[in-house]
Amino acid sequence: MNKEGISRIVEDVIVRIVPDLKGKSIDFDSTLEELGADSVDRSEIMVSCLEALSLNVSLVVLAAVRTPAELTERLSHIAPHA
Amino acid sequence: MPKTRITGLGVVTAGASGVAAFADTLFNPGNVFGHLQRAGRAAETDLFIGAEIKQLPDVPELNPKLLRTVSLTGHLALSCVSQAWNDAGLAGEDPTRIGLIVGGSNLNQRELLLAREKTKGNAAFLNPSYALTFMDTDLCGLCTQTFGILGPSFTVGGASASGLVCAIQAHEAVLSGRVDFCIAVGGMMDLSAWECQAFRSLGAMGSSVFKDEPHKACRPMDLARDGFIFGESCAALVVERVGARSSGPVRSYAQIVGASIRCDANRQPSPSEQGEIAVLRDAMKQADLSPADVEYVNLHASGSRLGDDVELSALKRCGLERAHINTTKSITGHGLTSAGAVETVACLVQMERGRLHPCRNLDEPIDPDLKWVARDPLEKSIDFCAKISLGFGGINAAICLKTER
Repeated sequence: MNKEGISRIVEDVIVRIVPDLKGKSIDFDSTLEELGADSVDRSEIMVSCLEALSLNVSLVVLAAVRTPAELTERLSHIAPHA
Repeated sequence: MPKTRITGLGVVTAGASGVAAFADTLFNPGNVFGHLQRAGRAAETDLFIGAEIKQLPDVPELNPKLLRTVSLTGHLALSCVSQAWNDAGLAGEDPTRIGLIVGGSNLNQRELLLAREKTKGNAAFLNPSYALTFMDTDLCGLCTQTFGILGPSFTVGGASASGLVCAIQAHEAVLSGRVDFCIAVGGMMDLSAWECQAFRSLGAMGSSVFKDEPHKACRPMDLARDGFIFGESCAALVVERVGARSSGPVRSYAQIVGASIRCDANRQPSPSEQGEIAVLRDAMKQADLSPADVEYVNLHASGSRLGDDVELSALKRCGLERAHINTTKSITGHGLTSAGAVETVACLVQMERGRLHPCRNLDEPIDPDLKWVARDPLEKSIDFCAKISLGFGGINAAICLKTER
């Protein structure tokens, strides 16, 4: 999947897990915390993105991720390219 | 000597949400029983019978973010605490002097089963929030966070006596001086099909006799009973110290004037007449009541073949054969961990209204000579009542309540 597709998945997942963001544009450079995600939400966002991309890898690879932009970048490195 | 009173109530059952609606179902009981349908609970083969909540109550405090992750048990607990909190007018009280105790253990079985099934073969994709919801203390966190409670909060397990055990723990927490207010929550036990099957195999859960007539299945204390019938429910009670508030009148449902918890040194599901007698006598003694003073007893009355017989025998041996009796579970079903709290709410509603509720399906009482409130409600002013709850593992609990009219 290309980076644009991954970005859409990241956005969909974040909006599902932080419903207050529905209908708003997400600043991909804000931290997940600034977007309203608590620590459990953060874990769920990571797991849900890996699941959506069928990536069965350790969560450690996403440990340093702070923003949706970083998450998109990291996932696009892990995900097999079409 | 400090005293406690109950000043706030909240309740949700399959037939009612809120105390007023609950009172309606007690005095005009209709059928809420059918074949269990909830995902993860519906039987693969033989059908289970019970009462399920069709529409979840609206809870103002449940924002979309909480609503997305809250369990069914959490949703109901929050609804009941919200009702009880507002009923007692706790807003503005010192949050460090308010505690919250949840009665019940292993409450969330059905949803945990669904979560495991959803990710079967892909454990890495298990929702991380499972780490919160598999612990019953999730209900403590959910409710204390929502209402800003800063006193002690924890869970207590007492099997099917949990709802009364947590009320007694709340009473004792207030008596000890640790808190001025303590909310007792009889948590809903969200059974999965596995627990239903195990209860059925043990002979505890009915009804194979009435499998095609679910409306007749729940019949505690009736000769044709064949075990308990499950009913989803939850209840909360605000217990507070008499004199805790510096200003304003306090509406009190009743004082808790006696309470006892005892075990039978028994791992089995079997009841003990001695244990039941002991807690009833303890509670009456603490309350300084003779059996003749107790005008009404809210029975445990699970519908168990042996348990109901033993309970009536204990009642008579305590000298309580002249008290009016009824079976709240015939209307609500057996909530297991929530039952004692739901039935304490039923006691208080009846005391407040001076009216005792009838029983469903009590066509042939085990002992017809006792003072059953059977087919119709009974107008009866009650000053003192007793409530008994019993659980697997030899757990017995009883309280005495005194009206403050």
